[in-house]
Formats: sequence, C-alpha cells, structure tokens
Amino acid sequence: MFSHLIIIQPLGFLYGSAGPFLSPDNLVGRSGNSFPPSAATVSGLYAAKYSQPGINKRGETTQQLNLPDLTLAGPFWAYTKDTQNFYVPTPFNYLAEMNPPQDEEKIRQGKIIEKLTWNSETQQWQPLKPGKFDTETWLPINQWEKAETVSKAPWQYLPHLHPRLETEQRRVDASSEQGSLFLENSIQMHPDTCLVYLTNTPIDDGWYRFGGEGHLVEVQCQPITNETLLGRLNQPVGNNFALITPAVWGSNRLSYRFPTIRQEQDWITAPEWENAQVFTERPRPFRYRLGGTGDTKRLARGRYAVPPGTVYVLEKGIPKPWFDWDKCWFPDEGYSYKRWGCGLALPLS
Amino acid sequence: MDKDNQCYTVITFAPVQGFIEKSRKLRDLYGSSFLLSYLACAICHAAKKHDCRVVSPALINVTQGTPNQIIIAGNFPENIAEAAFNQAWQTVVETCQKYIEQALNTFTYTWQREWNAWSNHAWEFFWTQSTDAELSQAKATDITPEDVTLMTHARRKLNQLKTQRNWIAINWQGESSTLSGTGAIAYPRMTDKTHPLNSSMAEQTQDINQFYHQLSQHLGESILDPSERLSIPELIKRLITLDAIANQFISEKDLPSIEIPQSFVDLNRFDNKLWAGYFQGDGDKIGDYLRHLKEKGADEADSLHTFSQAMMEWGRNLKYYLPPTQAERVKRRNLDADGRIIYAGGDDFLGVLYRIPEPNQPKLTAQDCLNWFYQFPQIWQQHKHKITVSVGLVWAAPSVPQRDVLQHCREAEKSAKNKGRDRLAIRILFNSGNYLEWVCPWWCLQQFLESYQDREGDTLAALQEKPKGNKTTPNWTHFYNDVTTLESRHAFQEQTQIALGLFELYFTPENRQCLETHLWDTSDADHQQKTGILGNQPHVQEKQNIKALNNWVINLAKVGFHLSSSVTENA
Repeated sequence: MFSHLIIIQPLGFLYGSAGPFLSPDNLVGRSGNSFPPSAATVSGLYAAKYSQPGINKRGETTQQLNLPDLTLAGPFWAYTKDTQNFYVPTPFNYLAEMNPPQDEEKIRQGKIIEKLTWNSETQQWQPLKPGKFDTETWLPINQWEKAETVSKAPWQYLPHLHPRLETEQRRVDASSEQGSLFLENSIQMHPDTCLVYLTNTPIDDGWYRFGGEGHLVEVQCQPITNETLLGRLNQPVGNNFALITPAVWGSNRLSYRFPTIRQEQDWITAPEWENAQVFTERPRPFRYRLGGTGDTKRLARGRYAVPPGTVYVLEKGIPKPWFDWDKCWFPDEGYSYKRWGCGLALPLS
Repeated sequence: MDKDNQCYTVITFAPVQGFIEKSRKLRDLYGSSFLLSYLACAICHAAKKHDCRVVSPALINVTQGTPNQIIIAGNFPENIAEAAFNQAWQTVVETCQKYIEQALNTFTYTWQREWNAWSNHAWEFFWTQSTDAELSQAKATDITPEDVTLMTHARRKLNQLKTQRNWIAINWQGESSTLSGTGAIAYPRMTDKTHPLNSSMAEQTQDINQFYHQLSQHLGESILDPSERLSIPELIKRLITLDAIANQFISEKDLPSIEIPQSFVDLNRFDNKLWAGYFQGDGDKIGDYLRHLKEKGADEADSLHTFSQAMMEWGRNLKYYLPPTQAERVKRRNLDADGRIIYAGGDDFLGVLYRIPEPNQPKLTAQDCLNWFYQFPQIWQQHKHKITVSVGLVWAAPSVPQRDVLQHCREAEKSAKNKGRDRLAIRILFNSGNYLEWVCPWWCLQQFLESYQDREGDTLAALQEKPKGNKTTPNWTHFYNDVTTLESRHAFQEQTQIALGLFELYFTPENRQCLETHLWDTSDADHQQKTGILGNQPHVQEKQNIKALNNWVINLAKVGFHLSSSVTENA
C-alpha cells in the first residue's frame, strides 16, 4: 500500500525531452516531449541510494537494487504548501473550461462545467454537449468526489541554446558538422509548486541528481496523512473509475487499451474488462532505462500507455482497490509494470 | 431516396494530426498528406460503387486535403468500408516493402512480421450511421434536442464513438526512430529474436548503419539522410513521394494524382541558412455558418456538399496563387512559385513559403511573405462563401527543427483564433527557440504596417519610389528602440497613453484614431461589422484591457522590426 509522498522540487531547470525523459537524440524539440517524468524515472533515485554491488546471472559485477516490493506511482504535482492535496489528471469525462487569463504569474485555473455519464441503454455519454473544451487540466485530489475546479499545469518550456560537449571531454565540440550548439527545451516549474509521486518505500530526504545533465532536485519524503486519500486508495474501484497514471497493457508485441491475459497462443482481454466502455485519448509512449552493467542503463521495450484521465465503465466491476489488482494484467519485463504504478485507478461516483 | 427511410453513414480514421506532425522534411509532410487523402479517397470510391452519395468531401480526386470526416448519404455497410480502407493501406505498405526489398537485394529480409503489424495496426477506423427512425426515437426519449438533423445526429454519434478510440499500438525494442523518438528502427533483421543479455548491440548497430547507408545511396541523400533511422510508417511516408512508387498509385484509375516528385525540390533550410514562412489556417466558425444556411432553408446535405466542393476547389487552386504572382512568373521565365501547399482540402490548409537560392535571385524575405498575406483575404474569398479565415504565419529561423516549427504554426493559428478570429498571427521564431508574436486583423494589417514612418520621415512607399542611397525601407529601429527603452523603464503600466502616443508618432494620427475606435468589434455607419483589433469584446477587468493594448503595440514594434530588418535574412 502507498504510504509516502515523494516531493520533488527542482533546483533550477528540469528537462523534458521526447520519448524517454532524457535521450541524447531527442534532447531537442518541443514536440512529443514528455514531462513530468514518469514513475520509472523516479526509481532512479532509489538506485542512487539503495543499490549494492552484486553479481548477475552471468557472473558480472553489477549494482543491484534490492527492493522487490517497491511500488511507485505518478506523476502528480502540488503546491509546496499543500502537498497532501496534490493534483491528478482530470478524468476525460469531466468537461472543463479555463477562466480568462488573469495575472501572468498565476497558474491558470478553470472550472468543471459538465460531467458526462455513460448511458448503457443509448450507448452514449450524456448529456450531449457540443463545443470545445479545455484539455490537459489537473484536478486537486481532495475534489475527487466532488470535482469543481481544475488547474493548468504549473510548468513551462524554456528553449535555450546549449553547447554540444565532446563525449570524452568537458569542452565544446566545435568539430562536429552539426554545429556546436543545440536547441534544448528545459522545463521551468512554477516556484510555488513541486512534483509528487506515491511510494510504498520511503526514501531519505536530500539532494539528488534527476533528469540528466547533473541537474539537481530536492527530494522530501512525507508520510501520507490525508485520510480521505488513503481511504480512496483502499477503496475497491467498482465498475466506474478513472486512471490517474498512465496504464501499460498488452503483450510484448502490442499495447492495448485493456488489460490482456495470455490464453494459449493468444492474448485476450481480461474477463473483468470484457465489453468495457472507455473514454480515452491517443496512446502515449512509455519507456525507461534501468538495469544492465554499463553506465548507460539498458533500455526497456518501447510500449504505449493509455493516458491518465481515461475513464472505464465495466459491466461487472472490480471488487478490489488497484493495489490488489491481478498481477497478470500488468506486463512483466524484469519488473512488473505495476511497480511503476501503471493504471492506478480511483473509483468515480 | 425515400425521405422516410433516410440514412447517413459517417466515417473517419485516426490519427490525422499526429500522423502529419511526425515529420522532419517537407517531403514527410507531403507524403503524409497524400496518404491521408489517398485513404479517404479509397473509402469514398467504395461508397460510390455501393451507390451511395458522398456528401463530404465533395471532390475526391484531390490530393491535397485531409478530410477528417467522410459523410455519406445512404446505407454504406461497415464491413465494406473497412475492407476498402484496409485494402488501400495494405497496398501502400506492401508496395513500399517490396520496393525496398527489390532495390537493396543483397540483404536477407526477416522483417515481414513487423510490416504485417503496421499493415494491421496503423490506423483507428470509426464508422457509424443513423436513420430517421433512430433519430425520432432519440428525440422521443429526450436524449436529442428537437432541432437536431439526421446528419448532425450521425456526426454526433461518430464523435461519441471516437471517445473510445480504437488503437492497438506496436511495441518496439532497441533504439527508437530518430525522427519521432518512438517506434522501432526499420532494418532487415528487425524482428530477429534478441535477448538484452546476450545480443550484441554493436552488431545490431552495424546492421542498421549498413542498411541506412545503402538505402540513402539508393534513394539519394536529399530523400534519406544516411544518419536518419526511421520507423516503418516514417519510411512509407518518404517512399510514397518517390516517382517509382507514386506512379503505381497514380496509374490506377480514379486515384488521386500526386504531384510528380521529379520537380520536388527539397527544402534544406539548415544548410542554406534559409528562413522560411510556414503558415497554417482555417475558416472561422464553419459549423455556425452551415447552421445559418440551414436556417435559411437550404437542405443540409446539399449545402454541405456545395460548401465542401467550394472549399476543395479553393484548396486545389491555392497553389496557383503562391507568390510571386502568375504575371510576375510569366515575365521572368522559369520562375518557380515561392513555396508549396502541403494540404488545403477542407477549410484548413498548411503551406510553406520559401525560395531555393539561385545566383541571380534574392532570398525570400519576410516582407515578401507579408506582401502575399496582404492579398490573402482576396485569395480566400475566391470560394465565395461568407466566412472569415484565421491564419498563423511562422517566420522560422533555419535551425529550428521542422517538427517544432509545425507546433508553432498550430499555436500561432490558435492565437489568431483566440484573439477573435478573422486575423493573422505573425510569429518570428528564432534559432534559440524563442519567438515573438503579433496578431492583427486582416483589414488593417497592410494599412498599419505600410504607414510606418521613421524619425527621418521616410515611409516604405516614398522610399520605393525614390530610394535614399541604400535605404529602401524605413528604419524600424527607431520605433523598436523607443519601445524597448520605455518597456525597460516600466513606462507601459496602468495607462495606454504612452503606447497610443508612440503609435501616433510612427503610424500617423489617423491610424491612432482608427486603432482607438476599433479596439473591439464594432459596427460602422453602414452596419458593416468590423473586426476588433484586440479581439471581439473587452475583458471584464479594465487592467486587462490596458495590458492588451500595450502588449499589442509592444509586439508590433518587435515583430515589425524583425519583419523589416535585414537582420533576420542574414542571421
């Protein structure tokens, strides 16, 4: 069960690059960026603290992270003063409209104007509300039951030119044909806010390297004191729930919108999820580097995630909270994807 | 058709925007635009064969256009539609795969499984239909308001269906495509079973390098750079613009004609240090306009069809209006158009203005782009429908990746929309990734920019008639310096006198008066609606209004400076 919050405050900028959080090929460009960093990125913090020298199957010495039960979930964000009431992605069936811009310094706020519910008779989300609504909004977790206001993300992209360094030396690579500068899009978080992740294993407070290029963040670990949150995380999700983290489901070869299980040669939708209705969006790439003996960690398989905010309406329902969900729904590749909090869901009323 | 037994079928597929966006070269854009319209076209043809009337898109033999919704009058069964769609796509995939395998026949190809995956899971397909009976029932149970027509009902049903999405995504191993950062790198042995613990990365990398080196040699570096590592769909987008492949699709009867790529000169902004003007736009409030037609008694399907036809014809002809003008091109023989339309199908369009440098030809300047956009409302009006248009123009520095430029394009268009529509948003995008933006309604764009008079009293018109030595354009630095100095001293706060005063000084008192009377939407003496310079209506808070005006003047100074100065041309 999740017991603690990991609070991450950048000391300066963070990087948001395409695909994996940090990859040399994709350090440039705004398109396809992925910020905030995934829960898998956060597990790197543990590697720094808890890994011990060991020997792998092939007899090579490695750094091993001996935390078999570690489970993380996120990303979320919060105001530094009120970390227990962090913001999660707004369920897609809540239609939100942003308020007109006020002060440029403030994080933009908005309100929820309609909540669509699934009508199984007409096979429709109702009420029918034509028009364009604001997307990519965040909802304070304390309003989960009674959602009224939403917020835009408290970060922005700051492009700047960055010198391209030689691989072996700390000096600008002037010989390269591609030029000695490259464009980089760093992320600036609003100073009153921080990133938040859930964990079941506390980590020491301190400054850590996070997000590449020697960038530092201040990490704090707090027990979850928010009783309603704890209650909600322990509540069975039932037959109507929304994801607050990305969900990765499917076989090694294909990613799906529903959990799949193996049946002989085929992969089929898990029985609980059959005939489920879903309100979702385009898939998002989900990938991380971890393990391996070298400096560059081994790259996991590239998969696609159902985006957070996705709403499911099941016929039967799942009488368990997320933490007790069947492990076989989650892909397994060295680690179970449950370890990264994939598909963390909260029941909708 | 029997009125009582009417039926509409609505079909769409996805992703569209995402498919176009994953582009590095102009060729990618062009290829994806072609593919999308080719697939839409396949559905329309199948519908016609099935004796159904295609309401929208009205013209199906148009390459440039990405109709994202196909509306068909009549009962067009899902299985036929989907089969036609799949077959069209699978033919493309197969053709491209075979082309590579034949062109580079020294490799052993074991990649079939991956191509199959792409031929099966590349698209989400959505189909729905609605009948009169169904609509009446929906109305009876109060689910649907009384005024909803059958076609609207069908479209709404499709939108409902789209909330489900329908994707199956293809996972990948190893390093990702360098173009999009996701997806496997396509190479002959990509499906070979490798285990991360005992596979040799070095060997794999060598395989990939060798393949791309040869493929690049075969296709030419302008089509595929040897350093690029593409995924299967990205390769398809490139290959589809090749003569040898495109011709296979053109030769088939009734398929859209693609521009013969022999003439396809690639744009290399980086090496040639070329700035280019990317623009994206679309018509304002199309839905409202069609509703308005319907209220006037026009048949919904007919008016949509006529409208769609007008827009597509407009889109098809847009390329002929690219600068320089036809007359100019005739005068100076062999002069290419300064740019290319990527797509212009429905009411939306995307294009780029650039000029391949030639010894006797000057580089394309921002001013050239502006001159064209002064004419744009007239070009837009050729379709003769009374709707306005919002456009985002990005004057982009050479080193900004195209993917980013496209994103800026979309954001600029959004700015134009958000600021009240019927206007142009101009973004100057620097190599550093920073940008400046100024948004101005069409009607006063030229009037304002050309009235600029520097401190020496020079205007553009006067200087063009009688240049003063090297000086052919007025000096925008004067206005720019004043604004930046005053800005740094916080002069533009809580009042608009300074901004207005400066504007009057450099842009004549008449224009100041014009600005002040048209800050927000107004009607003049002839009840002609005039688009407000700052937007439709004032903000609730006066503070916001002051800020809006000040920012407009400040941005005018900065953007105007970069548009007119030679700095951007040579930087």
